[in-house]
Amino acid sequence: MRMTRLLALGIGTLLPALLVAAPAQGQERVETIKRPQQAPNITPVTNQMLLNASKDRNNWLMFGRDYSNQRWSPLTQINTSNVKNLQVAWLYQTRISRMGTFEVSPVVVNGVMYITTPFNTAMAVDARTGRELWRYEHKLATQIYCCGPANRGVAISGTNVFMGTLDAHLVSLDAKTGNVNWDVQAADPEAGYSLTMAPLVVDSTVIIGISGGEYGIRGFVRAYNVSDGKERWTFYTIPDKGWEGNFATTTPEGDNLHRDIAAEKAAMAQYANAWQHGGGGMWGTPSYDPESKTLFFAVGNPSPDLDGSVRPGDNLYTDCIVAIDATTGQYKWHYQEVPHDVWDLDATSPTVLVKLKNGQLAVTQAGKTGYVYVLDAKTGKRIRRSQEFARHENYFAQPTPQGTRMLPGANGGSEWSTVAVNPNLGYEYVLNLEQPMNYFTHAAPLQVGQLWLGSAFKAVPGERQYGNFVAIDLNTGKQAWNVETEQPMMGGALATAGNLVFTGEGDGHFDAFDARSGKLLWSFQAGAGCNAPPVSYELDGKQYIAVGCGGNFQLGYPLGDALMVFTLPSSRGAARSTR
Amino acid sequence: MRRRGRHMQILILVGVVLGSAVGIAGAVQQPRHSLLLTGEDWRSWNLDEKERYLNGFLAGAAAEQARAAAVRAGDAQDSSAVSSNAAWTLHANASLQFRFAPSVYEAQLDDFYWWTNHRDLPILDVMIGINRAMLQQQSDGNP
Repeated sequence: MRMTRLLALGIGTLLPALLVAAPAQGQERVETIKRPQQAPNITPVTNQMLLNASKDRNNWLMFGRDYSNQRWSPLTQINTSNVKNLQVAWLYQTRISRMGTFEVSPVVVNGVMYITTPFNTAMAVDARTGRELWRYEHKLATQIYCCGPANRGVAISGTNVFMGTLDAHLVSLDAKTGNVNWDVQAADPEAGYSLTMAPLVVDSTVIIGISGGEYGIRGFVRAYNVSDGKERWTFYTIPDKGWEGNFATTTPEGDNLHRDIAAEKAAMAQYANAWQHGGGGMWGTPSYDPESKTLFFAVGNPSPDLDGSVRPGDNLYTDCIVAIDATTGQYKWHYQEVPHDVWDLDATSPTVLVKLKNGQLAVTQAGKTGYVYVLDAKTGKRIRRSQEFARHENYFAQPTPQGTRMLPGANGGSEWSTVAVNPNLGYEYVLNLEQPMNYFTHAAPLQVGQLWLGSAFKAVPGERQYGNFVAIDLNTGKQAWNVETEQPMMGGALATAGNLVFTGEGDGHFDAFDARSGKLLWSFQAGAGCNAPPVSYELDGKQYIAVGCGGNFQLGYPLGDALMVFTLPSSRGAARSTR
Repeated sequence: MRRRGRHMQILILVGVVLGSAVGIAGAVQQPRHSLLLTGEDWRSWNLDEKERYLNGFLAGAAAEQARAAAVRAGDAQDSSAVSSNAAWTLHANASLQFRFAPSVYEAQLDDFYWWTNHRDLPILDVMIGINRAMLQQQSDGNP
């Protein structure tokens, strides 16, 4: 009886299945691949989440992961012992129509990754599978934008995603759909203004700095209401009063700037309005100290870039680290790395907040000058300038007819690349370009049609260019280790509690190093330059590492449009299937 | 009579000297054709003079491009309304060849003519070169 019932049940269950599954004679077997299509879990990002971002293991909630900008992940699943097994989980091709320098630092919130591309397309992607959830293509209202089509990422608050655009708009997108909530114009793109940095959300404001320092802008950082885009405050990086400073003859550290102070003072009256187009663009997202409600950011070069004769004075706050009140935009302090810069050795890498061993809160910045500056966050007083991470030759030399060989060259030092910090070790990881250049007063005869600033600084013929990935001990200022790379470095770094530090190279390598020694532990060839800052997040108990590998136009690194995501194989020995 | 003759001689001398001075001043102050202006001129101008030059240059370039566009479109060439409308359309479409603001060109020219060996190049040629380079640089990135 029991057997009969089982047989009947079995036949009754299996027969229909067999009838459906068995192909009729002459028919091919067809299967449908079914992938889980989970609806995206769009969770509002609260201020409390942003304030606690450093402790959040699952997410990467803002450009620098948390307000310190340290790019330090507490995740340890991927570590020095198993990183050799790291493999691709998925990759996402952005499918943008025009490739360019791909500099995005993704933001990840509860399984949804938000990325941006050159020419301002923003996407939401399932962070488990790489499935696109939505995309927003910003219709650029102009073809005028300064300094390349780059974008470095978004900020998020509630269910609003914020992106700055090349035509100097700040747009708020619905995190669920990508639809536009509001769109405000920050400045006139025809006058060289553009927005390339990832914004920063602080309380009820979204804060962003303007770019365009090569094009005679007057730089600023501005706060907007998260809810409606209404301007809250503006801080001009070029003050209308006092931008001439104190006519410093040296850097704060005592390097001779070889300035003709008498000539500059004599020209003051003639160029009294030069501040109106004084430059001072911003490249990096600010860091923020919630306790003192202070924003810290780096300000780029004065304008014009090389001709100091038409902008006499120190040209404050160009080439500065600046601290302002995040609620009012009021000035607190500044530290000028290079007064009256005529070498383009400005401050473009983002500032980072760190607690030193003695408990002092410090703000650091890796300069194009080839030094890391460590300042007291309260006062702006210098704690130390690091040992050089780039070679120095004829520092702040004036050009000569024969050409003065200069190091760092006009690209630095550290460009806009983000650093990362391992707070346990007290190390800051810096990307460096070694590009020796000659500084001419009388270059070779000019060909009309080949006119550009490149004729001013020229690479030294036949001399090798290369890069360095350097660990600086912030408590001593000394180099802890230094790895030489084949090509000059540009992009960013990620440090993890697994004692790893990740970075990418222009030739397509994406690398993992032992954070303590600099030993290369793992490398992956992505096929295009990995010149963007990596991030890490955790989902369903798995740690992921993500990085944009889309190359860099400026340095001639191969372009692409892939966002690569890596993880460890599952326990069965294979990478987690996306099916 | 002698005194009168001497006065005459002095007057003539003064006249010659003054005339020469005026002539010299006239030679110095004689405006040069805008097509011949070089970096030496640029370097001697103050901010207002630079802006005036650039505003004129950009307006002229836009007008010529608009006129050409009007001709291609079959519109009347002698109508300023057609040209200004066409110029505005080009501007609105971001299609002007010289599409940046005067302050942008000013910064670039300042930098370019800082190099002493650049200064004998005509501003017109440099404007064309700088403009081309900036249009190309839109797909570049250079902090």
